[in-house]
Amino acid sequence: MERISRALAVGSSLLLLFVAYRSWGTGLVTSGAQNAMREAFLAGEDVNRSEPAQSTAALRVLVIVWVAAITVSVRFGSWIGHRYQSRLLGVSFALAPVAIALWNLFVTVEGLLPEGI
Amino acid sequence: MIAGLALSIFFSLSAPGLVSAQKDLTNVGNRAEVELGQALGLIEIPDISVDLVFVAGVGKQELKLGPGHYPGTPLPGQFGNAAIAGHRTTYGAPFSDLDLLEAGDEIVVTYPSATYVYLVTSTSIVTPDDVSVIATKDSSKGSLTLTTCHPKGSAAQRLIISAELDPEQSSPLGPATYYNGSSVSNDSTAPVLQATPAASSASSSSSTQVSTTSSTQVSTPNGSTTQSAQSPTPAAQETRPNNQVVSGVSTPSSAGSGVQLFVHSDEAPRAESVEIAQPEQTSVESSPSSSVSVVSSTETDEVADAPISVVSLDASLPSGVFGVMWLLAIGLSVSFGVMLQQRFTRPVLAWAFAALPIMYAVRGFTQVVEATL
Repeated sequence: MERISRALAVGSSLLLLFVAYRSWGTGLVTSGAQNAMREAFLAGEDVNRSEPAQSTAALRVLVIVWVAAITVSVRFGSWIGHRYQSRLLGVSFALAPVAIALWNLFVTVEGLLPEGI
Repeated sequence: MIAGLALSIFFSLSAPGLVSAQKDLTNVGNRAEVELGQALGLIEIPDISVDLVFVAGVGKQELKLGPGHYPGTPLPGQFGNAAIAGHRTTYGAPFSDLDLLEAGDEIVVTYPSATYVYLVTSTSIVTPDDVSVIATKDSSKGSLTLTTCHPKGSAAQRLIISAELDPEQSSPLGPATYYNGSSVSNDSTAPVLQATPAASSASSSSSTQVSTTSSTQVSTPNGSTTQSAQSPTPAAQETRPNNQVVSGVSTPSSAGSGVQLFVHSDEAPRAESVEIAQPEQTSVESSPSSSVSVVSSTETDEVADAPISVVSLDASLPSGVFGVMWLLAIGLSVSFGVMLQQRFTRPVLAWAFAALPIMYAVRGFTQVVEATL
């Protein structure tokens, strides 16, 4: 029962974070591109920040990679926490890599979504 | 563990999401081809605080950068109907408040050497396969069409804003020039050009040659990408939407006559098909990279009478799947609240945490239901 609860909690948290990424995170990609394009465009330069789309197969592999990266990072944080008897320390060590891997997981999953979502 | 951490950091830094914002700008210099994703101009809508660079193309990759210009329509500042699409809820939601525009509101398009002011004339809502809204209706004047998804959070319909040029506030209009977008990708959802065995009633002299190494050079209002232009006649401009089909990537299944353009965007009309007579004379060369090619006015004339038929090829998930997903989200959120309540034995705290995801999921579900109705 506890495992199910934990899985549900993790699942709903991930879902919520993904929704937040879709709503606000994607905006960071656009605003970054816009800032660079505007500057160059107003300077009279040709500018193109578009990137070629990755294949579905590559994206699927990346999903596995990022999930693995998250798992490894969490395990690492957990190990640090146990080793030094400090949960705070463990969380501190795991936070950055988990956040980065999670962001990239969302980017990858977003690329796999069909149009219209 | 350390190796795993190092591995995760390595992959993090090499991932597209974070790195994309730091990539060097590509200065491609003057050239005849307009690349998908290339910045074309600035679009400003003061009433809804939009002030963005718009790019060439309406594909998934292009719309991540900002509003995208439909390949195959004239550029803003040229005779004919220019069309621009933008996201409504994601990627900065550039066209989030497009529904707030009213007749008479200004849309300003700026190039380094010219400014064009369009005044909103009408707002409408159409189905995603209604591509007629981006076609030129009067090639003797300039007009602009903005498209985005409707309602917010759904791709069930398209919100269309039509505007006409205000000549008094604008630079002189230029002749319409066109490019055709093509994007090569292994992704199965990428733009695809394929032939369909369809009957044709087009001009008997039709002979369409599309080349990615076009010999025809084009002048855009953006002075940075200028080449000599062949100005199409008004008659040619009217036929312009036909040329949207001659873009994309040829597929192994290509056979017979007619070609289809899959407009690869959740903001754009889904697909359109043009049937061209004498298909044996039709030649399409796939582009080796993400680029667009320019079609000369003479080529435009040659497909002047080709009819447009719309094919619905909606790649999005059906509304039912969205509904189930949101119901699942509601269930997960409630479970989250129950779990917190058991864990902390403080119902108020638990449900305070769970309230936000529950409300968000309920909102998403109601939007899907609304769109379905």
